[in-house]
Amino acid sequence: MASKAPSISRYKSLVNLLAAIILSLLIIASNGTATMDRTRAIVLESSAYLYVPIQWMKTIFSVEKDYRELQQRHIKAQIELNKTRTLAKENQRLRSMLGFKGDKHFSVIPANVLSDVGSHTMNSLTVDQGSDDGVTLLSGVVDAEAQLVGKVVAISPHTALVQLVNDKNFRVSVREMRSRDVGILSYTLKTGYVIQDVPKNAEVIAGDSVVTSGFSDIFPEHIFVGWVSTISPVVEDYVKSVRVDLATDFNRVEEVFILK
Amino acid sequence: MFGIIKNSILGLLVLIFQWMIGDIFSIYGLTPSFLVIFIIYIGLTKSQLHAIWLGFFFGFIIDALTGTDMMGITALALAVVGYLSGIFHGRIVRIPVIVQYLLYTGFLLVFFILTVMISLQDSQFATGNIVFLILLPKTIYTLALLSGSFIVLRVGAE
Repeated sequence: MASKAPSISRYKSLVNLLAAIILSLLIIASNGTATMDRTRAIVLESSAYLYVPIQWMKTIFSVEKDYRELQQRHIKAQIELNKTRTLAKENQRLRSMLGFKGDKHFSVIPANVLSDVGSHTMNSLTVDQGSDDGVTLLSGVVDAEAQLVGKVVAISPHTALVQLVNDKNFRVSVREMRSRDVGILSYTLKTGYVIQDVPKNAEVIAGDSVVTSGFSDIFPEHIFVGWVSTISPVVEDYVKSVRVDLATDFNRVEEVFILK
Repeated sequence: MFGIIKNSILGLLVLIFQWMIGDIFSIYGLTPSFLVIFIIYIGLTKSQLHAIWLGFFFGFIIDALTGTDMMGITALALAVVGYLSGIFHGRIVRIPVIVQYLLYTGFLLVFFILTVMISLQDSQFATGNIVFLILLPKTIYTLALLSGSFIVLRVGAE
């Protein structure tokens, strides 16, 4: 018995390694199960507490670099804005000469995203601005690049629920920039973003930009929606169905702007 | 007992460093693994058993945090590296320096072959591209950092 003890301790590390390997293989084999998803969720939840102060420190360290980048972007944007202002004034002058009515004006309320909720049928996010901050029901919502995000469907004094474009109940009137054709954009899990019932003779091609048409009180015109990806004929070639790649990346939306 | 607690706290700090600010060290998208350096260090200087189980535990946490489809693969790879480095526990100083570095390279290759090759096996990358554009550069980069750390910590020094 005494002579066996040294040999067992000699294999102690090997036995431990085998135990670790078997456990690892069991974990790999149970990937995707509810237990593993729950375990992952617990680890992620715990790590979130650590992440807040470190994220704050990272922000402090990157402030100067971000500031310089933003300064450069600001100058470029300012030059573009000056050009656009000149064109807008020219356009306004020509429109008034032709007797058109003036454009609608709107302001924005910046809001931070508190949480997002997604399922196969309903997609929404909660923001930290509510009726006390001037948010009203059915206000349009855009991201920092002025790209379409969704619309406010419920409000409380300090928060608002935003229905996203990828909600199956969401509809918006859009215009294809090159051909100027108008249609209703909707989303389903099966088809993605589609503009239905576009006239057969509409000269829409892949890569064309799609913006809001302004035919509603919710969204002003020219809010960027995305790009045409594919066009397919439907109903015996009488109309087309135009698929759109959305510009907004919902995974990256941290702050939004509510149109007022 | 005190040793395992000390090593666990040290490992936790390395894990936090790896997960939260490891990307600062990223060059052309290649991020070194500080956790494997830590496990090799524990295996060589502290205890083989600590290296195996700390490798398994922290590897599991990293897998959970990174959202990989192969949860458990880093745990497996780090446990194996912990075992291999632990074989040379207390003996590394008696090994010629060139052999020491060959051993370190071997440990890192075992780790990156298990983690990189297996997780990218179904990707669109060809095997040659995985080896020459990801596996070897990652190994060399991590080896450079390991060498620096071990010189500072006087691991393997006479």
